[in-house]
Amino acid sequence: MLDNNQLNSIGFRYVCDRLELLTPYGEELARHPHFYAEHELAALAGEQRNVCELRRAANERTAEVNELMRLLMPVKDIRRSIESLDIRTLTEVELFELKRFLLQLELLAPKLDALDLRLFDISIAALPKALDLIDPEGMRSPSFYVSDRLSDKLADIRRRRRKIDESIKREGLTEALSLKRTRLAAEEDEENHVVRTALSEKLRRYRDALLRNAESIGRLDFALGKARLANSLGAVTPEVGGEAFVMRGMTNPRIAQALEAKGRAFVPVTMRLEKGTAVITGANMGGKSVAIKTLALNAQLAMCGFPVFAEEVKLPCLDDVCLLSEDREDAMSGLSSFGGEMKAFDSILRDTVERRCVLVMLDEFARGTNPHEGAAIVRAAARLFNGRNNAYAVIATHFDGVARLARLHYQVAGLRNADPERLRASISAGGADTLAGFMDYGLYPVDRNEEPPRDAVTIIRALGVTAEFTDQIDI
Amino acid sequence: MLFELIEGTKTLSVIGMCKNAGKTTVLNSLIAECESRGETLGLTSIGRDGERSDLVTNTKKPEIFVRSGAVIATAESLLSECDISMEILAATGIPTPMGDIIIVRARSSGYVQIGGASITTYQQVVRDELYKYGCARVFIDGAISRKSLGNPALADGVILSSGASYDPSISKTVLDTAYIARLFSLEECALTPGPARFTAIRGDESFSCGEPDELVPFLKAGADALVIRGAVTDGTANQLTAIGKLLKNTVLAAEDASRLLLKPAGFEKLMRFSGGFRVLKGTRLTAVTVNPFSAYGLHYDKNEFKERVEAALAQAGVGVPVMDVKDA
Repeated sequence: MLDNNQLNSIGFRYVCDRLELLTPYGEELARHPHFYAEHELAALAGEQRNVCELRRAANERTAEVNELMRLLMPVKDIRRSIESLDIRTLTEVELFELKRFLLQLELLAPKLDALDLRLFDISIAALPKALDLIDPEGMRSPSFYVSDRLSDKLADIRRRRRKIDESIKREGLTEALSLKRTRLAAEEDEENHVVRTALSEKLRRYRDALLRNAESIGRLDFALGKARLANSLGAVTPEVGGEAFVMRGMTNPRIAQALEAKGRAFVPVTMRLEKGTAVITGANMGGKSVAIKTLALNAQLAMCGFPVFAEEVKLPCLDDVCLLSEDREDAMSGLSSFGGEMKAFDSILRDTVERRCVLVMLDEFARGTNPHEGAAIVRAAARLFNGRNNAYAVIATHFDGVARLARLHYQVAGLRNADPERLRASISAGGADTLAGFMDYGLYPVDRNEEPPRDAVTIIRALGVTAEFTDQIDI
Repeated sequence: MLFELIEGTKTLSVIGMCKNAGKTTVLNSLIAECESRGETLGLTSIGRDGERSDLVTNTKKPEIFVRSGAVIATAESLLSECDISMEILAATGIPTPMGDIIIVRARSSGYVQIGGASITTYQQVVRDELYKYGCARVFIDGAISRKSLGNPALADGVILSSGASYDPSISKTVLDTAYIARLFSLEECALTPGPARFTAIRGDESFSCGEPDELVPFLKAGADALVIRGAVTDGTANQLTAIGKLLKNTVLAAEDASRLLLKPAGFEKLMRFSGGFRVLKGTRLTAVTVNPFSAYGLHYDKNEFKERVEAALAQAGVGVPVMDVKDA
């Protein structure tokens, strides 16, 4: 399970925050998007279909979808009142909000029907009979007043009150009139409560239908938010549940936006995974962590029923997505970074051992210890995941001898294809900030026996770090 | 008649110097007058008011009485304490500690409990909502000593209510009332402040800075005005008087009267050290009402109180009428 910190760091929160949700129901769904389990694959497919249908509608019938959105905006969260119908009399304000909700359904339902979408588990239906109970005159005005029609007694009290009010208007608030007025006000209050109690009881039979509508509005809002975001950023529907694990041309909107601000473009990441361990090696600053985050983001999005930011995504139905990286929440817990990392790794191992199918990503695992033992630790992890038949493990590392043990080896091209002459010239001309121009951020499959490149010193020079220091490096 | 004084005022704030100053009596009198003329009234408040018995002193307090047709903005939990026959018009979603602000229309006469938002922007939203529901006039009722009600952005007229409950000493009550009235009567001046807290202006030149000491070089050549953003406190007064005589001919300007949080002595000191005090946005003080009855038992003499407040206002150069609440 990814924690909040990780969801933030991989850019998942960013995607959720970019959804323009219109209702409190939709906002609630986006706060903790549901991670679909294997037995919910039909529901996941349904959510994907909803998003596709709404994407198409938003493109082809923009005006109607905009109208639908306008009608969603005033919807308030009245679930507490609806649930209260079981146990108590609703207040006038609650009945007012219930009436507004019912009026909104009258507008929303035909608009949604007119779009003629094949939506899964979203059904918004007007409840005119419930509305008639609250608004027996059929005025359908947006305000709420306990109707005289609901009780002859109430109507009579109010008639008498009006008479008293007329007398007050003529004679002022005399003591006698004040007493009568106060008594009638109390009588009205009492009868008003009796009427609201009866009304609440009659409305009780619409409780489930009301809740279904509220939930449908939330799902519609959430799916529409995903659809509009997918249309504006470009995204595809992933194929979830097959055998293949292919992530082609993935991007990460949060990182892409940060790069764009610096005038750079995100280099799409492509990976094919097999059960067991895949290793990513490559130069520092070459994008290994970005590749891991982008994989994590899109896998998580796919399992949460979102469109993914890629050209093509096929993945098996995952029970869990796990990530071990620098962004752990335990950083403050008092353990050293190495200790914290190992404890977190232990939890991942224990949590996933019984799982059917998991994606585990380790970014620069065991970086905090000496390279000799560090490499041995990472090699052990690679072997372990090879031995488990339920895991797709991806390990980004600088250590030697790990890739050899992996099923797959990816490498960031880094400075491999950079013209050494031009690079040297650029470095001697001052170097700073030229790195991005030479770095190839592409991720390529390479032979398992290929060792990690030795670019660290070149990179330090290209960063323009002072020669007083770089000249001391004897390599 | 108080009504004649406020006839041209669309949004009126009634501010009390203290609890039991007679604010609610003033409001009720104005409400009755407006309603008898067939005006649709809007009522809102800052904080809670209109309680049957005063929550602080447990003295019997007049309540706000409206007739059928009035539109009231109040906190949800206070609705059960209103005895009008009510139509719910809107749930604004504006939060208060007593629930969201709900807008209701009275479909009968009755007493209402008004509790409002305490943030100026929200108060403006509520006021505008009331006008949306057809109110010809909006009254804003204030809680104790919330001078922010005088915020000119909200109301275009203010009534200041003072009373014997303010202090056992009539002299203190009179002086403080005159002082607050004076702040609410400060002349308006059209100046544009710079980005920082203090902006000194000389002709077309200006200099903006965060600390009064930084003003000194600019002030040496003289300045027409010094605009102060934010609160003006006794601390601010001390900082400015420390500069010495450089401000002698400079007009000081605060954003509006609600920013002037200094004691009378600090204000007096600043007046002596400068060319006078103004505000960027003026408050229109319409009247001062006085209530000689104290909730604590130490009543003032009715005539003496009114006359002394009148005299103090005249001395402070505040030319507004003074009325006893019972005559309002």
